[in-house]
Amino acid sequence: MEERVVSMELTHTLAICWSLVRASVRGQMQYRTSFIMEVAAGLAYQSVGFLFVWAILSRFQALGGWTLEEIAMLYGIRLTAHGLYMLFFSNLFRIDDFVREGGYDRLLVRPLPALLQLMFTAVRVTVLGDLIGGVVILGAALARVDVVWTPAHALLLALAILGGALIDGAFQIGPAALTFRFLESWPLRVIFDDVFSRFGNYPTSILDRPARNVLTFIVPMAFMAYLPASTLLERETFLPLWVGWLAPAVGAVMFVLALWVFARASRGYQSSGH
Amino acid sequence: MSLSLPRARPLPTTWRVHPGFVACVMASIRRTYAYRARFLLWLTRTMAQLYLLRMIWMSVYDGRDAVDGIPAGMLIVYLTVAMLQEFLIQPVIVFEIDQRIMRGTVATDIVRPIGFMWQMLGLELGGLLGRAPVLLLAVPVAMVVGSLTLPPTQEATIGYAASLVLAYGISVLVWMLVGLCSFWMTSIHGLRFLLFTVEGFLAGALVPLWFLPDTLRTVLALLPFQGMVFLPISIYIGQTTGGDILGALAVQLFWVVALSVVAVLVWRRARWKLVVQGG
Repeated sequence: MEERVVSMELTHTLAICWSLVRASVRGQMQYRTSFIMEVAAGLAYQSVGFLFVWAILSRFQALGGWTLEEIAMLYGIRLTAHGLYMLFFSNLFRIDDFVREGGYDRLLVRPLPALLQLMFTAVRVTVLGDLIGGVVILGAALARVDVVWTPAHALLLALAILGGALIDGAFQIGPAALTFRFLESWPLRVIFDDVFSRFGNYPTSILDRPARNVLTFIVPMAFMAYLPASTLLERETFLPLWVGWLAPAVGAVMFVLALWVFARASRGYQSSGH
Repeated sequence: MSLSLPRARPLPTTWRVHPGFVACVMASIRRTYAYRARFLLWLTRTMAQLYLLRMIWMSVYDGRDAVDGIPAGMLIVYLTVAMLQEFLIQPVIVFEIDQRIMRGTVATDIVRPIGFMWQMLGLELGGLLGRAPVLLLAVPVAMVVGSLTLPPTQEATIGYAASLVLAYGISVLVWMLVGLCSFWMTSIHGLRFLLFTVEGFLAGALVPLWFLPDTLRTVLALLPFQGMVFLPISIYIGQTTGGDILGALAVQLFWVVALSVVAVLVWRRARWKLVVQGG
């Protein structure tokens, strides 16, 4: 009897989430031209980033020993992971305004966990640009790259993307907890987003040692794409080859930690009183 | 005792600049200092970008002293100066014009004592003057993250100074034209974001144009963007010398003139649209 209740509650929750998403998408599709322009702008952003890589590698054959296809795979994994995270959590970037203007109180009185509501009430369809861009680049790369595609390697690729999304999420949701205490967290979130978007698409090995160590052991950016990709290519890094397989585990641990921090901070939430 | 109104004094002839213009400049300068947190954030992100670019370029240079005749050290100076210059000449009114149209305040703007476009230029100039001292704070950081040296010759210094002024002109005009699109488009967000994204690459701030494949380089040579970064900084580092400096300045001057003509024509049309149709 209890299992039936639990599964009905879960289905109910999922149904609400789906309705929220549909409402949000419908709303955005009203501004058709603006929507198209923003998706195009997003795609252009990805393209220019990759254009830069292409331009350099058309003159120099390799970057840190990685050829164009290999960098494209790295790029594609990171971008797809980021797109996957953004698909669910793109609305999180507005949390500062939300909490400050008392919108968070509204969430608390609804029959759905606040974080889920934050995730689904304003799915910005334009973030599809990130996901599409990532998949396209990854697809093009996988066709050309020199990887032996065993079932294990295919699994690693999928897990790497999932792990990357979880790491991305951890370093957005975790800092977002600061909003409950300080009414803003955007500087920290923007910095993490910047570091991951900027440095994450390149082999971490090209950085100098202090930076490389920070971005592997303290903020595990290297696990988002570089280490799994190195494992797939069977390319030596400063760590053993099997470390790439740790990516999903690292992601899961960081994500759960971030959720815990967020939940903890939200309990200390004092409404700004609207 | 006769009551006489004080005689209206004409504007002193030494004061050749319209006080309305000065007011816009001063307002813009003050506003720059209101955004201190944003400056810190900009500085952090730009230095991160500079660091990454240096790592990428050093990686492809792979220990070689020079590639295609460009020494490694010179390349890093190029990238560093490009970053600093980009901060200095960043656009202001491309964010102003569409806001004023959306809020309708443009209606009051056009009845002010000086023309709308002069007000906008005042805001731009004020932004530049406000940022200049702030730039000095960025220089020491840039020297550590990248590499900064003075131009190698007097010719390079003078050439760069002239080229920088023209580069600023091109930048103001290009972004002004983007801003003017607000009179015809409901939202220029997408267009603006798009242009911000590609501008760095097209201008040669990420990959100096010497390294680009010929076809791409030819295309970029036909666009005004190279006049914003590549041409001036190529002079700065002493890569463009002698008569070539004059050639570069001529190209920049051409764009300043051409874009000014276009801007005036577009503005006339926009103003007509505003007055006749109410925006």
